[in-house]
Amino acid sequence: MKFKRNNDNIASKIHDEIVMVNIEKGNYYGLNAVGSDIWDFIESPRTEVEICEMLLEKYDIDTKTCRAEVKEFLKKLLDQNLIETFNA
Amino acid sequence: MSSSSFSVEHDFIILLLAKQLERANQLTEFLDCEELSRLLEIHKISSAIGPLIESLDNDKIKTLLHDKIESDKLYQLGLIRELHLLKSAFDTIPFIPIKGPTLSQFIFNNPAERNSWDLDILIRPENLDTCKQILESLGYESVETYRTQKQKEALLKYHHQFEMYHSEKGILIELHWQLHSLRGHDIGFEQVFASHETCVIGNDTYMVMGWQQRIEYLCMHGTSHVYHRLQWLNDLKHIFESLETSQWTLLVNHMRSRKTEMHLALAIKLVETLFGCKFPLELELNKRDEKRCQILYNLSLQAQKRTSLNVKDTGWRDFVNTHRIQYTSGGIKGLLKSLFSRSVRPSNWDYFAFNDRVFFLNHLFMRPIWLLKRISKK
Repeated sequence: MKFKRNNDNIASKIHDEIVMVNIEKGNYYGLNAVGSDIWDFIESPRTEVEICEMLLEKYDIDTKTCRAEVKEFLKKLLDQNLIETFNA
Repeated sequence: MSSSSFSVEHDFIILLLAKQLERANQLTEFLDCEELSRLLEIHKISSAIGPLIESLDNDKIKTLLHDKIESDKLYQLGLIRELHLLKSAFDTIPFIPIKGPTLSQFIFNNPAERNSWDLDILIRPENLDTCKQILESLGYESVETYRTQKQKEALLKYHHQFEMYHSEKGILIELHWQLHSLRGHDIGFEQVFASHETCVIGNDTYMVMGWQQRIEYLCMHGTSHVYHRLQWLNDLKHIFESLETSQWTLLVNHMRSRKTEMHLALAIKLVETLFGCKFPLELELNKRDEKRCQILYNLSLQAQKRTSLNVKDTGWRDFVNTHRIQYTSGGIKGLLKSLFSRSVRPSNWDYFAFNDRVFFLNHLFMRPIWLLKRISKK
């Protein structure tokens, strides 16, 4: 399964963070540096594994923790309708 | 580059925009935060310098800039959402957003990278009442309005826009039926529609100006305000830097055919001087246009200097300057259209001797009536 951005959201970077708005609902969101990296990365559709690999290259974190936190983060994004999934 | 007769805050902004970060860093200890905030607001430039602030050494300035950028970007995102709502509400009524999020998308490939504070929408004049009603249903109120059919006709004929404001959201929408920038070079809906392109923001596709017409409009718009706002020059800097040789040729041919080449020359001269750029273009203007270009160039530097030093023009000085610009840019025709356009602003209708008719007599008597009313109030 791959994850990609929902086009209803417009994002803008402020240094290494992102602010964005869902233009349908009018809700605003902020992503920290790691969240911004993930958001940038899923400009093209990516699997959870690909996202983890990207983060492991950039940050000093163990694989287990990375996978758990990425899973949780992607769930939050899905719950807010910021991203969508499709089968690769 | 910048003259020392400008403020240090002005010079700092210019250096950042020109990506001269080492020199900009040298100025940070001399900056007044309040003054810097003032200029960032006036020049609408916070988003443009956002990517550069991490290169600064001064933490106080970085924090100030970061907070300003965050606040401005949130506002931009709100405008983008509002544009989306407008599109849904307008449904089959065609409209063309001018500047704002679509210009940001064009220049920076992101609709929120450029500061805007309102939405400019180009519509067909016959759709003005319908668009007004739609905006009212969304909670907008007319800033000023026409009271009679004759007043509406005068507004449509001699003026170019109608303003509506949403007090809760703090958003101003300008409905334009002409993009006059400089009278004598009016651009109407049909002209833009005939050569329009499209722009995608989110899931919405908007009609936008064709790229040559857009650059031409930005040059003329900048001229009409003598580029007192650095944002306009920064926009053109980015656009000019992205043009290939073949595009420069097409652009020059387009503007030459419309006799607006002088405005391109002015824009290039200002961008090259302020930001230290050099573009692969040599424009040959006739002597009259060269002279006009030089006058407008000087007026632009004077306007930027007044802004940087917080010197405000008094009423009459502003009036004279505005019409001097119109005359220099558009000749006598431009000047007359500018004068008439001012007269038909709804705020002036209180001074019309003839409420509903004989427009030219109203124009003639308006100023004496205005003066009498002012004297009698005192």
